[in-house]
Amino acid sequence: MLFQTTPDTSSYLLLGFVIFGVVGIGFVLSIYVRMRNLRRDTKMIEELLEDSDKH
Amino acid sequence: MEPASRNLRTLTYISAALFLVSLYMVFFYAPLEVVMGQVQRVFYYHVSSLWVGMLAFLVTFIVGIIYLRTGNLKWDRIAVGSAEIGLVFTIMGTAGGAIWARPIWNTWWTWDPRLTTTTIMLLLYVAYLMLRQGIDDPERRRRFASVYGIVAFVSVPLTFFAIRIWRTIHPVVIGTGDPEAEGGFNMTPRMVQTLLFSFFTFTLLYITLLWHRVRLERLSEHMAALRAKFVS
Repeated sequence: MLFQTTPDTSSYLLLGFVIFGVVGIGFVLSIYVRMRNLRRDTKMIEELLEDSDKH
Repeated sequence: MEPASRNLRTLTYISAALFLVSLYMVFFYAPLEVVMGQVQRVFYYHVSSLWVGMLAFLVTFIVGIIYLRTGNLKWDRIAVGSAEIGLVFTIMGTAGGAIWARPIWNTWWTWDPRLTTTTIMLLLYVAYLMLRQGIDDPERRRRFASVYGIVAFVSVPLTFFAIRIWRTIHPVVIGTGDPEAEGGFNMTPRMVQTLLFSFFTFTLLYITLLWHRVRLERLSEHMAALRAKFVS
């Protein structure tokens, strides 16, 4: 045979984009979760400081 | 902490929209590469991710120098944010490359000069983040991290030029590479356009993520100050 057929490598394509998606979305989520937790903790400490100032 | 500014929100929406367009281009606009098949489409994000990784480490290097000269905290916030984003994109690009290599090189991994220098670069920036975690005194942490970020940057040009200096099987995208490289191909105009668009989109994504990450760092410093006040 002088010609070559295109190999079916679509499963690797799928795997590649799943990895890109998991790592990328995971990082965005980590920023969101860290931000949310810090906001919550900051609010809590600010309230505690306000309370201690009153007493 | 004030909510995200209008500019940041607009940039986030634009980045997300451009990312969707780039996905469309990768899957539907760029033609099928007949020798490698569908897996060649991984190449667009593999190259773009590693480009952002190197760009991010370059930014860490530059702002590290500026921080050491000025002592302004904002440069240190950018340095740590950029290093973290660079690491994420380098991991993404390296993993994508390994997946591409399996059907093309018949192996997930080989200790080729490019892959070896990429691993060294990646580990150096993992160590950068570990170093920051390991020093309690904020002023000392910032100074040490800046110096480390400057020194670790040596690995970036080394990684970039590895395929142009040494014998390698890794193909060169821009310029001419080793004739023994496996998996190289001639890009059609649509492939070039898709690659350039992915480059642009990933760069914009980097800027957007960095902005968000710097805000996170600022909030973290505010929290540390409040905690110190509460304890005292």
